[in-house]
Amino acid sequence: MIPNNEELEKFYELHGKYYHHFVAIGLKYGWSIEDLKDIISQMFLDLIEKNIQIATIAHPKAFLTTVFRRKLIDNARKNNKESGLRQQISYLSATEEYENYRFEEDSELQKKIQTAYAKLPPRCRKVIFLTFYRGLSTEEIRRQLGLSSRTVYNNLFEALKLLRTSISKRDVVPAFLLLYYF
Amino acid sequence: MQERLTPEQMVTDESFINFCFGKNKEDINRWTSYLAQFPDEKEAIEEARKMVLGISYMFIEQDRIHALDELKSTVRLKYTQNEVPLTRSRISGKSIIKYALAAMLAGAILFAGMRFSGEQQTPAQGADAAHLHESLLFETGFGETKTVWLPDSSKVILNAKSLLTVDKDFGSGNRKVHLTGEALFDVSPMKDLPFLVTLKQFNIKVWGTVFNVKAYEEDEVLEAALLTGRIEIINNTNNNRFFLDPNKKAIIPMKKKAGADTAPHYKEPSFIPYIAPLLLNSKDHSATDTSWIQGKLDIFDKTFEEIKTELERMHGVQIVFKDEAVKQYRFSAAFEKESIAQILKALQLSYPFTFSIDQKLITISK
Repeated sequence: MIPNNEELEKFYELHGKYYHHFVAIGLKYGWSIEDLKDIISQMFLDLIEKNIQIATIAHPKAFLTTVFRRKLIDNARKNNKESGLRQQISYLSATEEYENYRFEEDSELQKKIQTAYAKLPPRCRKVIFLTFYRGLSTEEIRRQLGLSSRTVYNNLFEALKLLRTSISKRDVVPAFLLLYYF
Repeated sequence: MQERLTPEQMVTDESFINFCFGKNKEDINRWTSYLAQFPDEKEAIEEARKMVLGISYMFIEQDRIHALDELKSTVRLKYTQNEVPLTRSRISGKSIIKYALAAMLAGAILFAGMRFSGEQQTPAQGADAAHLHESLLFETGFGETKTVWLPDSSKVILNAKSLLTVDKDFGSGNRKVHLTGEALFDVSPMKDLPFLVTLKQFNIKVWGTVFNVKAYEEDEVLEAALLTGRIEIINNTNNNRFFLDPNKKAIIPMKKKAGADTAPHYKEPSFIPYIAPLLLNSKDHSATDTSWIQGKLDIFDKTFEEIKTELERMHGVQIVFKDEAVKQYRFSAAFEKESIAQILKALQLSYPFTFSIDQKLITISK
């Protein structure tokens, strides 16, 4: 069964549009940004394989969100993520109000963070990467890098200090953040 | 929580990140009550939150662009039918390497200089005729595995530091792929079009089956492990051939042992295979040869020297032995998600040796 191009384009569009939304859900259930990339790709490949006529679905976001949550549960089962699994099942029936948190794009802030991140010393970049992308704890990073907890903490702290300085430059009012404060 | 915290201190606290992601009820309560206790800290919390979300956004956006490109190439490769030449909607080999490189770089946290401004690599679609008949390349870096769906629905999982080349006529004239490194093949049966894996010295003719090939350039032996079905292994130079039965593995010496040519009884490698039964994991009866797919490393009575290259590939490190004797230590062990430091510590329980880790360089001595 070959999916037609129109269908595929629709899938790609939805992928781009809701990627951050899916990641935000996954992060809440204890997955890392790295894990979620694979889970999301897997979900889209499955939908394409099953030849789901996505264009005929009235509320693609709600549909995909449900599919995605189920995918998270499947994956948690596979990986024996016991605690996460329980949480995910209990949330499965929860209403949309739990999804109030989302990533807003602030291109100004993004540029600053990217530049600052690129300028970090490699050891600082590494702990930021492991903490935020891999979702590792200080203890896990310590074991992985063979460093002491103190060193890991210091590198992280230094990285954050440098990032903070460059973010706050000429950016007195963090206006966009007020939008999703609680 | 009595003392006041700076935004940096907040972010270094795991519970604060959980609070930002809405992950854990206790953590959310913890930081909500912190705010209730110090209402004037609202600004500091906001600043910390901005950092957590901003950094995460950067990584997610980076992934999003790559994930979409990867999804498109996978779909294109998987659903391109025989009558449509693979090459028409092909992804240029070079750009695939670019993705692979990009993924490697991201993994190695070296992507500092990359721009995220949406300058995504679009596969060269209108490549000129001269490029239309190129083969497709798939490459993996250190510690990376990759699943490749071939147009005939065969699936190939590449292990770290491996390269798979798919013939330009794959699917129409032949089903030929070339491999350096290690891969697990799940080949869908096709009577009139046998699947052929070409290696440096040997070819493997496949008749619908699941098997694992390990053919790294630097390894002393080539290993082909058959799980189901039937494969035929052919020596390219003298055309000697033999069939391999399921649950058996062929081990073919390919290289002289390092330094062995100076030994008095040194012989050139024979390329003569010997057949061994597959070793099964005592817990779940899965073959140890394919445990790498689950990110596991099963070692069964191997010397430290043999384990060395596997560890290097998996963890992207370089291991140096200071003492010859250490190389000959034999180990049996199973690892799953342990770090390289943890693995070495576990191995130390069997034999006393010392090691030091300096970035990517690991030195092992008595």
